[in-house]
Amino acid sequence: MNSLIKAEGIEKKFGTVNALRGISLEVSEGSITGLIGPDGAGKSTMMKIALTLLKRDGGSISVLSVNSDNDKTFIRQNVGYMPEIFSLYTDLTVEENLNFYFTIHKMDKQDYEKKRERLYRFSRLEAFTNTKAGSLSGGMKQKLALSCALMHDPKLLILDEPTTGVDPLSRQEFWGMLHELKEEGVGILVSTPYMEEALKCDFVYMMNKGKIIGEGIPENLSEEFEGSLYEFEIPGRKPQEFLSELKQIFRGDSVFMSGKKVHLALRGAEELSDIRTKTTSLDPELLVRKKVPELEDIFIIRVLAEGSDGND
Amino acid sequence: MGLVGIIIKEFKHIFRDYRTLMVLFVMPISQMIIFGYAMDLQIKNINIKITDYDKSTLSRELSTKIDGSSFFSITSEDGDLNELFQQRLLHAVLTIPVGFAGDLNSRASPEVDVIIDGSDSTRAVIIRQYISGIIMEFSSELRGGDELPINIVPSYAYNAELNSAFFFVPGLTALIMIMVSALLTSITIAREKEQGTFDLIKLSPVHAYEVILGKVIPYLILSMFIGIFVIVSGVFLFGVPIRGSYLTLLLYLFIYCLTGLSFGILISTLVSTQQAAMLIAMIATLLPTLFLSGFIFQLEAMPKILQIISWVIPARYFLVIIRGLMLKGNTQGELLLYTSMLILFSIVFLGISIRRFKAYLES
Repeated sequence: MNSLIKAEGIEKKFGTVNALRGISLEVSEGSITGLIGPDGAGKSTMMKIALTLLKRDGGSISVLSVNSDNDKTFIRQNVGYMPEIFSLYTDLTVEENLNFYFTIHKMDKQDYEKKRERLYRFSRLEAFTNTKAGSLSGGMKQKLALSCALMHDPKLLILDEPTTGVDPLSRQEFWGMLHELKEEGVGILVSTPYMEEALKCDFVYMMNKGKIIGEGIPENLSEEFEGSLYEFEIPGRKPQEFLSELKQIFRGDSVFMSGKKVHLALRGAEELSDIRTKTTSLDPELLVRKKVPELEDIFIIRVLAEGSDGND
Repeated sequence: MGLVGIIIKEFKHIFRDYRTLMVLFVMPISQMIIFGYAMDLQIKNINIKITDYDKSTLSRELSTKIDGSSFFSITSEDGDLNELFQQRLLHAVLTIPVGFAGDLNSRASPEVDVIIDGSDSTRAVIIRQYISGIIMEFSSELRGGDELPINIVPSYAYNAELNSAFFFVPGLTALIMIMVSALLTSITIAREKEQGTFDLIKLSPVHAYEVILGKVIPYLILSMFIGIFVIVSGVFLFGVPIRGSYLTLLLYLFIYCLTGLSFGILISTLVSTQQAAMLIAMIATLLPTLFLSGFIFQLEAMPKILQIISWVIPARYFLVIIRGLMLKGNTQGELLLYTSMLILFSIVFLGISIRRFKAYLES
C-alpha cells in the first residue's frame, strides 16, 4: 500500500511549550488511521503540520509522496481537510456552500452537477439543499463539511475531531461514510477523543502531551498488554470514595477510575485471591473481578506509566 | 472562476445580514440629522431685554427694529439681571439712556449700553454683531446713510446665507464614507480569519488577489449606494446644492470609497479578530477625519507638524473634491490633483494588502 503521509520525528514548539515531541506516523492509501488522545495532546497541531498550515520545528515529513518543504501548494490543493471547528459559512445554504467550494477549487463548471449529485447521494443531504448551514444539526454540519472537503476528490483526507459533539447515531453514520471512502481507496487520518471510535480505525496512534505513547492495530493493542487488570466496585458507593485507599494499597501500580468502577493494572500476573487478601481492610462489600483490558485502559495505563517514568 | 465565486458569496453575506445593512443606511441619516441641529451656525431666539429710560419716539423705533429682526425676541422679564442670566432667560440687555433722542437730534453720538451673556464666547460675539448691525442700520437710516464713509456689506460666496448644512453635509459625507468603507472590508476579512473559513481557502488554488478583489468589488458597490444615499439625503433634507457635474461626483466618490475599502483591507491584514479590526478602523478614520482633514478645524491655522500629518489623511483630499463639486461647481480637471492623491492611496493600500495577504495564505 502506498504511503500518503510519512512523518519522522516531528517537533513543534509554541513559545516554551513543547506541543509535539518527536512524532512519527504513517497514513496509507485505503485505510483509516486514528489519532487518539485528550485535548492538548497535539493531534490538531500534527494535522496542521501535515497540511502545511503550520511550520514544524524539527523532523521530516512527506505528504502525497511530496516533501512538504518543496511543494506546499501541491499538498494543500490535493488534501481534503475538516478543521476542528465548523468552518463553513453559516449564512449560506448547504447548496451554496458546496457551490462555493466548487468554485474556489477552480474545477470545470460542467462537472458541478455530477459532483453535486454524487456528494448528495453520499451524504444524504439532498433534502436540506436550501437549509442554511447554521441551522443544520451537528451531525449534518459535519456531513456537509466532509462533502466540501471531498469536493476536489482528494486521495488523502485529514479530519480533526469530526465527531466531537455529534449525537451517537450521526456518529455511526459518519463513520459509515468514512468506511465507504476507505473502500474507494482514500487514505484517512482522523483524530478523536472517543476510545470506542478508535476501534473503527485500521491503525491507531495514542497521543499524550505531544508524544505517541502507543500505536498499533486497535484489537492488538489490548492483547499486547502483558500485565493483568482488575476491577473494583462497592455497591452503593462512589468510586472516588475508595480510590485513594486502593492507591495506598497498590502503591507503584496503576489505579484509576473507569466509569463507576476503579481499575487496577498490575505489571505481572497476580492471583485474584492475593488481591482479595490485600484489600480485606476495605469495605466488606468490595467486589473484585479480573477484566480484559479495553483500549481506554491501555491508554490510561500508558499515560500513567509515562508519568511515573519521569519523562515529563 | 474563483473571483466570481467569491463575489457572489460576498453579496449573499451582505444581503442576508439585513440588520447590518439597515444600520449602514440609517446611521448616516441619523448622524446627518443630529449634526443638522447641533451644528447650526445661525443663532436664533436671542432673548433681549430693552430698558428704555428715554421713552422717546426714536428710542421706541429702535426697540421695534430689534423686535422686528428674526434673531431677537424681546422679553419683559423683570427681576435681578444676574438671576435672569443664570437661568438663561436672558441673553442680552440693551439700555437706552435718558436724552438718547435729544442727542441724536443734536447730531451728537449717544451711547447705548449692552450687556451680553459671555459664558459662550462664540455666541456672545455673534449676538454683538447682530446688535451692532441693527444699530448701525438704524443710525445710518436716520442720517440718510451718508455719515459712514465705508460700509462693509459682506456676502459669502458659494454659501450666501452661511447655511451650516453647506458646511457639514460634504464634511459628513467624507467622514461617513471613509469610516463605513474601512469598517466593511476590515470586518469581513477579520471575520473569516476568526471563524477559520480562511483555512479552507488556504487549501484551495485561489490567489490572494482574487480574495481581495472578491471582497473589494461587492463592498465598492454597496459603499457607492450608501454614498449616493448620504449625498441625496443632504440635498433633500438640507437643500445643499450640487453645482458640479453629477457624473464627476459619482466617479470621485467611487475613487474615495475604493481608498476607504483598501484601507480596511490593509487593517484586516494586520489583525486577527473582528473586534480589533473594528477598533482600529474606527480610530484610524474617525479622529483624523474629524480633526485633521479640514472638516471642522482650519488646516492652515494648525502647527506645521499637524499640517504635514494631514497629507496622509484621505478625507483631506476628498473634502476639497466634494466641497468643490457640491458648492463651487468645480470641474473634473480642477480637482485632478486631489483625485490623483486618492488613487495613489488606493494603489499603495491594495498593493501592500495583496502582498501581505499572499504571505498569509501561503503561511
